[in-house]
Amino acid sequence: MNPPVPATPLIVADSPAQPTPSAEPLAPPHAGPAGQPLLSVRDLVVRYGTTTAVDGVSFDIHAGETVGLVGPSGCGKSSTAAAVLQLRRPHSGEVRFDDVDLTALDERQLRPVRQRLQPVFQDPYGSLSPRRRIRDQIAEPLRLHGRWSHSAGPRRVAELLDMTGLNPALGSRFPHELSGGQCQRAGIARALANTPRLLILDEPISALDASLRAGILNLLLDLQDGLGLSYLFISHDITAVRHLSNRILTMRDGRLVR
Amino acid sequence: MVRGVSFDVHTGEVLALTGESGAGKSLTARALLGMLPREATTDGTVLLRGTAVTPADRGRRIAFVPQDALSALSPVHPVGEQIALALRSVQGLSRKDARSRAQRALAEVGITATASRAHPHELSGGMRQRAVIALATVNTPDLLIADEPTTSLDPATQDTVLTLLRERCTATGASLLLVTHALDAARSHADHIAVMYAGTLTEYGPTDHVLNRPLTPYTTALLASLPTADTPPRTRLATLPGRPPTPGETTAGCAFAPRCPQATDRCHTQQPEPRSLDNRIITCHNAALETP
Repeated sequence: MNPPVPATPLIVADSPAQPTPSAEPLAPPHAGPAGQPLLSVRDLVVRYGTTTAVDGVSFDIHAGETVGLVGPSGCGKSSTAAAVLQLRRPHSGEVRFDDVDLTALDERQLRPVRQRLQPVFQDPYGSLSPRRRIRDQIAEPLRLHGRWSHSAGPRRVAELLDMTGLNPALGSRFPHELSGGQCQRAGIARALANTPRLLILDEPISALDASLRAGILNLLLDLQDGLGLSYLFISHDITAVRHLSNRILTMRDGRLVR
Repeated sequence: MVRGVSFDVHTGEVLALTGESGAGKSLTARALLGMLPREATTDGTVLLRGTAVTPADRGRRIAFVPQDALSALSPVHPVGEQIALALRSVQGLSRKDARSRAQRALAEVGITATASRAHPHELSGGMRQRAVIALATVNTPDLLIADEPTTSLDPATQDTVLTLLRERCTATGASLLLVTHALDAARSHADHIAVMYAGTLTEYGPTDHVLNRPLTPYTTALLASLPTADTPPRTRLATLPGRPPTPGETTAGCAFAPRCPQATDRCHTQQPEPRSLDNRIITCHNAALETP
């Protein structure tokens, strides 16, 4: 196994045009549990054409830890999330998850990893298919990864609904028959189907009404305590980020700042 | 959709109109502006400095700052020219006077002479919103209505723009009706606050009283569900059961009764009427002053 990557000199070798990252914006203090990080991002660079959206970002997330990511719109938060998930392949840098560099894997090799690394998005309706019942959408990841059986499958779906605070009877509904808060819970239930270790939460409460936000924040805290999940929590809502996170990273113009 | 809403905006003050989405904030604001959709019907009165508002007052005595600055500005004219045009059409200034007044109005919101020759798409979101504030205040309205004026801006820019908005209102003597869902923005910028739920005005009064010592169960529950700087990290927050009603959904009793921890039989069967309590207006059967 490779030793953890040292967090010091950080100039991206294959992009000499990149300015050197400033003094020591990287390797945040290890407030989380000691030992091997679950996720270790090093020198991440994401580009869209000639625009550099993420410019040499490095951070760790340990098991059971929540790391908040804040910053103004357009600073590269969501691009960082997409690159960690390998939904957008980074230009350069390393995304080491469970000690495997995801940037070196092809789509087929990423499949099993994606069971353990799951996204939850902002728009609760947009992240579900409008034409399929909630229970089928939660069952889909189980089917895709060969974990579906006629007896255990429906039981697992009911368990997931219950775990996220939804009455299992709601499984037969379509997304438009649920409230925004309920859809967001269904999206979380689907993300949890294959027992992930890390959830990438990209503005998970921004589209919700004030009186429903607290319920989702409580749910995230309960799930973390019960399942030992780690979170990368991206939000504009600084009080919510402070409430949930062990550590907070601030981004500006594609870089982490103090 | 909105019923029995009454409030005052005092001369020179800031009133925040808050509530969750669908509570009727924007609809109330648009009713004051006469900008309701054609199928809407209204009942009730709007008095501006003691007299009923006429259509001619709108745009002169009542000005509007929308959420999306691009929709308030013409895309094909430089911002300076648009403000000059407003001055010429309302105050009848000459071309030359209007141009110099427009320049001054833009300087007051921090837009340089060079930027005043820019078209809206060449400016950042914050700059555009500044230009709209200059446009809205240049003809010294009595009342300025701003509907979520900073929601599409960065959190860092939001406070700057709200502070500027308040400053320009003070400088021109306008009262400000600030429609916002953000209670922290209301807390730092408004003298009075009106909290709406499902088309009714739940609680209206001085901002610090309402937010520090709410009298109605809805305001209390809403405040309890929001983490603040003082909330210990990772504690579970107070939640409300159920969901806000869909706009237009009606109930026999109080609209909040299905979610209210203090609801009685009366709350489910009889709609509460707005009444005065302490220095507030509340719409709730149960709210009462705590006896010391």
